[in-house]
Amino acid sequence: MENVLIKTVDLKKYFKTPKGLLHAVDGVNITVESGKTLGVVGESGCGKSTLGRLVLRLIEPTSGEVLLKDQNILKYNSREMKKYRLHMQMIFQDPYASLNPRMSVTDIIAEPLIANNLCKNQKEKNEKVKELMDIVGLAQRYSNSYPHELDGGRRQRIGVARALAVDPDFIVCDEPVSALDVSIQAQILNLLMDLQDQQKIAYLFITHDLSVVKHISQTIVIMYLGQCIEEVSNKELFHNPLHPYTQALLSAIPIPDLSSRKHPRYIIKGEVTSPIEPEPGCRFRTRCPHATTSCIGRDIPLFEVEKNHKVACVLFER
Amino acid sequence: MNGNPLLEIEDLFTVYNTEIGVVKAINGISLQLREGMTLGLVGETGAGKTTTALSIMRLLPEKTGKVIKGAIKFEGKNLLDLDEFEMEKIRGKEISMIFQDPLSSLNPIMTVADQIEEVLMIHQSDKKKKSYNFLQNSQLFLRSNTKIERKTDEILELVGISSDRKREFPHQFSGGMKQRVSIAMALICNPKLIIADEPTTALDVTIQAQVIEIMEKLKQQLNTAMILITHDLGIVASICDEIAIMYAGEIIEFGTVEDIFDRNKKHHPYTQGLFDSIPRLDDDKPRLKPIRGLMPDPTDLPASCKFHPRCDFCMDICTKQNPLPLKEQMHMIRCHLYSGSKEL
Repeated sequence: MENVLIKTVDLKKYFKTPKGLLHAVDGVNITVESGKTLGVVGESGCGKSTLGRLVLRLIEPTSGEVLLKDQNILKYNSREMKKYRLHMQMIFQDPYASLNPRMSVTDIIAEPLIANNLCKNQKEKNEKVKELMDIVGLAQRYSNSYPHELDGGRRQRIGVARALAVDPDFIVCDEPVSALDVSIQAQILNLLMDLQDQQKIAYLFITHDLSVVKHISQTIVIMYLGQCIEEVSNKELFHNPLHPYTQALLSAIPIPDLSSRKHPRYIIKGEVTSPIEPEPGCRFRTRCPHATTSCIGRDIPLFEVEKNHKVACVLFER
Repeated sequence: MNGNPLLEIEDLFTVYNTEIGVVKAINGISLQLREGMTLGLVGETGAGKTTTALSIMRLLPEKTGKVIKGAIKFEGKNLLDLDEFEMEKIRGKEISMIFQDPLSSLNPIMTVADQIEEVLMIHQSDKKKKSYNFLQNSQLFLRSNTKIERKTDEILELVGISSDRKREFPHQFSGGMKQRVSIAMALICNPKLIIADEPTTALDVTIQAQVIEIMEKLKQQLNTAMILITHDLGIVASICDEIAIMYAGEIIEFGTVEDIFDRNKKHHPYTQGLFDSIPRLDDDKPRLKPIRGLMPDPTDLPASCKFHPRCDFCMDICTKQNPLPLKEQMHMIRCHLYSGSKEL
């Protein structure tokens, strides 16, 4: 693949808990190309948010590498890291909790500019903030408002403007639309896609909503209990899902159409098992209708079934 | 078509008196729900869905919330005329509610079985209730207690929880299991109507599918009517019979699922906007068509059509007059676009 911007190599993060090691992210290899979107989907507790934070080095991985343009960012000290953070930003899920309630809209958007010495004087700062507000579609009259005066959609626009302030190449979007109503969600999704077209920003788009991720991403990674179990292009995802878990996820989504009533739904039994010291083997096997003895005992790697389509399941192992 | 009208809401107005002014949460809604039917109440945050539910249950916040006009008739009785004692007999027994967040709707220091049994104890006939109060050690109580226990086991099995787990506390259950417990609690007295307020919003999709399957199964088995409050058109399509789309405290479109999901029929621009805003798995639209603007301020609603500031088809009349409902059989739309014709 050309234009690889971010790459992780066997990235792992284990958390210590009283009950044992929690395998939040367990050997994930992802690649984000510049100007493209990689979607990460999974249910709560599958490690998708942890993955997003690891890629930005907001938390230190247990092992593995994060490569930004072939440079392993984990080797840098905090001063060098600061330079690289200019390339990478984050948009958070909750636009209520991620903005400082005591800072005005201008202050919030200007903070990354000030922290990174990107503007020489007050005038330049104000101009830049104005420009950013225009880009994300926030009216100038809100520049002195505080977050609590604004609704969820506008707050999320502040979050986007703040991420754009340092002119990044790469943004991690952690469930940026899941706290918003559908009509507002569509506005923010369109904004993110427009920004990508104009400024060639790459996204790591983390969400639990398959239809949103399919809409915005070129490539999609499906995670289950800390592992990546399928990597597929957005078209293939709908037409040819291979992993039983992916199929179950797709089938579980209620489609706003009456035709869905006729098809019997394929509902998987049980719930996600504990991520604490899992035994080797496929982690989905306890819920999988196709589980056999070959699913136990060894971790199943991702392998390429077709071009741009990888899956980790013994059913497709050659 | 089965059944008589079970619940009739007539021209209901509910307000909240808050510091910033009077919030007009519901502005004249009328609804009819027949026995055994499932009605979906769809809308965005602030549309008045939950307030409708709370008005029916008479659970509006005491100091601020108030029904100022209208009637809510349940089996012909106006619930708004009942005193608190009479209402308590209906609440939980005839009409019960499932809340969005199972974590906060269950009591953390009571076992699951105790919570379910509590519902039964409260709604037993007065005679038995006395025995519960005064004869806790007597034979009589023990006998009725084993009966209650058997009923609890039955209902837990029905929602898919093994009765071995009934002495556990809510925190020992996962989110999906907790929601099953609240469904069991809602069903234990065989209510005629269940109001489910976003019952699956807090759950993961695979668990959501399991919970929906259970609700569907139980509804058919017990022939309970249901009002399902949700913002997810997908869930509505899979289990509802009738749908009311709400916007700013009004029902702007009502119809059977066939009416609402038939893309060739006429629709309210807001309904259309909702459908255009959702990304779908089964088609590849390059761009979504969001509804522009935001929900109107509920303390300062336009007197005319509430949707007109966001509507692409806004006409002169829309800014002056509130449209009257137009009907064709079950299908109802409130929009000036169609008011030229007498029918839809």
